[in-house]
Amino acid sequence: MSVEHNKANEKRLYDEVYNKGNLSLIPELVSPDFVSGNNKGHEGYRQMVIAWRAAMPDIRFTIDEMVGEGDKLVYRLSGTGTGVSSLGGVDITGKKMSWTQAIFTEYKDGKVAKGVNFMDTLSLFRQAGVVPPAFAQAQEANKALVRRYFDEVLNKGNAALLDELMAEYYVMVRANGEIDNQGREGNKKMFAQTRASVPDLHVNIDEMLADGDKVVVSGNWEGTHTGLIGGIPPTGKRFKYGYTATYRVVEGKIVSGKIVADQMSMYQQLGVSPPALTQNQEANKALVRRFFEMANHVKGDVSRLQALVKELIAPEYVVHTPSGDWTLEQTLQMWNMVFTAFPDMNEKIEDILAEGDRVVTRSTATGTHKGAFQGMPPSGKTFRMSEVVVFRVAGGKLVEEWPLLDQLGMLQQLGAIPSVPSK
Amino acid sequence: MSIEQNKALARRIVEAFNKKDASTLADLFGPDFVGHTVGKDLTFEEFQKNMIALVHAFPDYAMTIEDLIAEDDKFVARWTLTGTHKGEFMGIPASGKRIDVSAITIRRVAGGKCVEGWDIRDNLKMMQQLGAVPSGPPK
Repeated sequence: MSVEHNKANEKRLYDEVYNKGNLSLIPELVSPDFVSGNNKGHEGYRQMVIAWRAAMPDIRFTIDEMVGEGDKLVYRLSGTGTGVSSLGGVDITGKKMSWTQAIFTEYKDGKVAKGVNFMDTLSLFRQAGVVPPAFAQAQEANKALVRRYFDEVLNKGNAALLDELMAEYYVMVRANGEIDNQGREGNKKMFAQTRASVPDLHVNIDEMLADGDKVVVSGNWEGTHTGLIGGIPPTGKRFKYGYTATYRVVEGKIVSGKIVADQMSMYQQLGVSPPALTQNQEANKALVRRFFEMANHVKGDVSRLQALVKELIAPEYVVHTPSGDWTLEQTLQMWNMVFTAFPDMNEKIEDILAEGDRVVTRSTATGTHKGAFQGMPPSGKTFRMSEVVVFRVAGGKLVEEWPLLDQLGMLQQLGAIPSVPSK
Repeated sequence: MSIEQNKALARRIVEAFNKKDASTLADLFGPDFVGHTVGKDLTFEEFQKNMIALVHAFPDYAMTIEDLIAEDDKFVARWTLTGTHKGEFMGIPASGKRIDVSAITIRRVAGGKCVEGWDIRDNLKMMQQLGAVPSGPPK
């Protein structure tokens, strides 16, 4: 049989059988060996037509384009209809439906013997105003995931759970559209800082909605201002402010979050002015100023040094000195030694500037040599030393430092090195 | 001038230093430039003399920018200075020794030129590398 015959046969199936309900034509147009999914033979075909016509009695199919070769026939099909009952388990009553399909068929002895149907079932569900069962399940799972994030991570402080709940390349979108792409690890640090500043943090959920891969949550953040927030030193006051957050969940992990929060009312409750537009840079500068302020206050008191470290310095702190990198532990040993040798040590910031995550200070250090320093017995001499330090800030803490000090000048002032280099 | 333009100026200065291109350099600094080095303030002429002395002492002198940070009218360059000691420097005769030291420079920019600067170089390490001061803590 020719391709042209097959095309005419297929067209009759839609014009007569589907569109007009003339089921008696089926044995003439369909092979007794017909297979399409679970539908087999003439009876299988009949059931397919009945299902469509029962759901939409005014159903109308139009073949838009048809290509044939040998015993194969492929075509694009448009359908429209008004729902009166359900289709595939979904109630479409009263809905005007339209859809497209692509159908691959094989012919045998001039009759259709095999059909494979591709159609946009999701669009049918959408038109019916219902969510397909699989999607509904996924949405509930996404909500449960976000709820765990709030209950376990935000409220109970289980940051390790982020590995399970959050994608490595998590992206946070701020209310102003600014993107923070420090990823899951960056989020962990930010979160640790938040919990350090607000140890009694509680985030409640008033409402939670899921749509597709998005989960929208709203409620309140509340807690006590116990550490630096936005560069503002602790006030000890309680705050409570509303937020709305939209999370996107892909393959069981939160991949992005857009958070809009009424932080302005938090600052009002704390009785402080909110940081200016260049919020982060100014906050970073404030952090570094606090570092100098606290360092000047140490005066050889180890507990004050510990308080400084706890509030301002990340555990992974690295100081890139001219003689190699120091860990936090090595840095602390050095600071202890310096604070013991020069108990009146004072550092005055002459200039401070910030860009991105860097803060630069130009400062003058002064002190009196009252304890052993690098093998030198106390001399009672004073020194005045210029310093420039580049700091890197992440997650509200100092994480890295590149100091440059005029050590040569200092050692010369202490009499350890002659003032004029040897000839 | 945007902070990006100021950073571009910093890169041009380093390029000119590395090429020993004195006329380009002179063009990138304002005539009233003041350089606050440790201990004293330098005019542009004095600053230039220091640079010439450095190039004379270390003919293969090279600066590498490690970090560049800018805000408002200032930029900060954290850089490394390398070179071989082939001429007299700060009273120390040529030793053939290599130096590799860190420095941080802050520059204020006005009208597209550097007008003020604050510099700190790790002179202690430099003197140690040149063998003029013992390495490690003084005993």
